[in-house]
Amino acid sequence: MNKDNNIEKISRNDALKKMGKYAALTAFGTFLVLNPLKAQATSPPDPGGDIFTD
Amino acid sequence: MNNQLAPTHHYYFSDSVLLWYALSNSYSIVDCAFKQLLDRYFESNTLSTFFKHVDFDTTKTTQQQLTKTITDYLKHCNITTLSITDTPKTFNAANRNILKHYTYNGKTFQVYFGSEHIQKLIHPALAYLETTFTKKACITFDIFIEGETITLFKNEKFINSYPKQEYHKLQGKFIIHLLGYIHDLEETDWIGSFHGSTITDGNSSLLFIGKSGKGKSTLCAILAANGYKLVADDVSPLSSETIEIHSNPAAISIKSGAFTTLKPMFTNFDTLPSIQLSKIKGPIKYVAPTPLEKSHYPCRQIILVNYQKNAETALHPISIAKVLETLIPDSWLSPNPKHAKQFLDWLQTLEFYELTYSDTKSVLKNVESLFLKNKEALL
Repeated sequence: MNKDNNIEKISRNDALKKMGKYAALTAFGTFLVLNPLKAQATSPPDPGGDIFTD
Repeated sequence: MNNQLAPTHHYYFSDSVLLWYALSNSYSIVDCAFKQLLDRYFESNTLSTFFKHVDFDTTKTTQQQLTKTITDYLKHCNITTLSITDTPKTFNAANRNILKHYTYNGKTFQVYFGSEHIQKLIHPALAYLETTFTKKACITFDIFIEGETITLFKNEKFINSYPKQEYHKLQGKFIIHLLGYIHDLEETDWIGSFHGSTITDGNSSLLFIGKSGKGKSTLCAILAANGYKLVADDVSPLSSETIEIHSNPAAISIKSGAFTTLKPMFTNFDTLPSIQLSKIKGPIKYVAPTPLEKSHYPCRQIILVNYQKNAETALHPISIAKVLETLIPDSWLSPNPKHAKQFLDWLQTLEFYELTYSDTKSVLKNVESLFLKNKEALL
């Protein structure tokens, strides 16, 4: 175990509280994961219309 | 536990934590209690020591569920995507059809376009910078379309190519290379380029964000017509060197829906260049920015813009989480750990607001109050 002496234990009350929260956390939507764009871009084009044809 | 999956940086705000995962360049918002569980998880060598430290008096099944939640979460935060390197396209000068020269702050650059259609992607926003200057430009871009692919070259060197329907990525890449040239920075010197528009009063700046169509550019044009100056429209770059938003020379693009509002504010509105990207889309006009005194400005507030017809104008503080939900997925953020740390540090210096507006007068008052607040903070 790492840093055995430095680990602050979570109290039973806290644990119970967390388990209550945990029940809600089982759904992935509870966690917000945000991924930035992989490349620079301007505003995405509005749908419709081919700008490369006359 | 597998510490490779642990977040590299974190930032506590109110009762939540923003985490940054290096492997995937992902940001995650969790509550403090869950962050505490994650910390215990990574501090423990085995699951049994983990459960001992969280002191859960739980059944084996609950422990398994908790472990699954944590491991699933960490997997989700550490998804890496293989970056597929394009096979470089060969430069072919025979593709050059149209040449445009530009000057911005004494720096010249030129762009060769393969066709009129491709010119429409770049030139209208820079048309106000066009010059007949014939001295050899320091930098030359070429943009061509071949088959279904559109390709960008800089000084005859391949930069990248994209499926032609993803032309907004080419525009973004072109802008970041142009910004590098204008500001003497490399592509690797940017913390990120935000999908948002930035306005200054000459001292500080406000970054307006929001989904396309929420009125960012229209608002910037209104502000530009009322004494403020545009720093950047649509792409607002944050430099790692200055931690400030640098100017983007592209003009403000205005969709036809805002023409009636803006026409009375600009004496030359009817003569502003207008383009029609395709037959079924309305025309777009470009409002050229006025010259800035400085090339970059400190940003103090990020404002989520929400234009609503007939709505009462309201400016109120919102959570950082609400801002990040819009900002991060629409922006490019550098995967460099130093830049991610700088981004988190920068966020800690900002205030976050939502601005709902419909009329010009009241929105001006609100913006003025923010700039005034920034001025007072400096005194």
